[in-house]
Amino acid sequence: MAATVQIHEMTAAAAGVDKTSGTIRFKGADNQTVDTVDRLQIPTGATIFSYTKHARFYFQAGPSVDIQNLRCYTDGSNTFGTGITVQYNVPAAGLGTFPNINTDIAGTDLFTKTSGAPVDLDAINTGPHSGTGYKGDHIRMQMGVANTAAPGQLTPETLTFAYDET
Amino acid sequence: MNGAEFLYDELVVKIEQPDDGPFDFNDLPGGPIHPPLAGETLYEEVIDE
Repeated sequence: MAATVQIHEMTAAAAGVDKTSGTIRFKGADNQTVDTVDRLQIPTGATIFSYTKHARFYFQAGPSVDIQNLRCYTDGSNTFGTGITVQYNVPAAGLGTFPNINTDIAGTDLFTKTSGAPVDLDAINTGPHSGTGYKGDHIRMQMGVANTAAPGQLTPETLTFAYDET
Repeated sequence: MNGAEFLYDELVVKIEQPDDGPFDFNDLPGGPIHPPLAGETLYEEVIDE
């Protein structure tokens, strides 16, 4: 029986909202609701930043043996548009230590991570992973908006989470 | 820029399922893996003298 694996947008160190095949929206507020409230305001001066978003693997039903090699990646091309960036890091304790903030986390460009060179999501909380619950590392992401950005709804980008199951 | 301008976005989350599905011990060549039965030797080391 294959495991049931989800991706949660975290609301606490060990609690979150299922966003599997769903949407994470970078906002000017610290919540997980995908709506058009709290849109990001294009600055006239220095770059502004969204509230951070934490995501993590959640095993709703565990694997027969184990799951390893937790990772995530983009297509390597940022098509959000001019002046838009998404940066990330992998803090050890997630929201328990790093509450969501809207100041620059000075992370790595998420779009440098591809299927061939993905974000390693079990470097800290190492595998193999079995049983149920939250597994692996927290990825913390943040959108930056420069004054060169254009208003409107951005073209969606995809963040793919992958794993090896036995 | 006349007046405040805003944008909003979508980062779609997907899961890539393992390519060949879950590993099945019962599909191994030679039959399924099982614990050694009573009196069964797991392996032998043969020394040719």
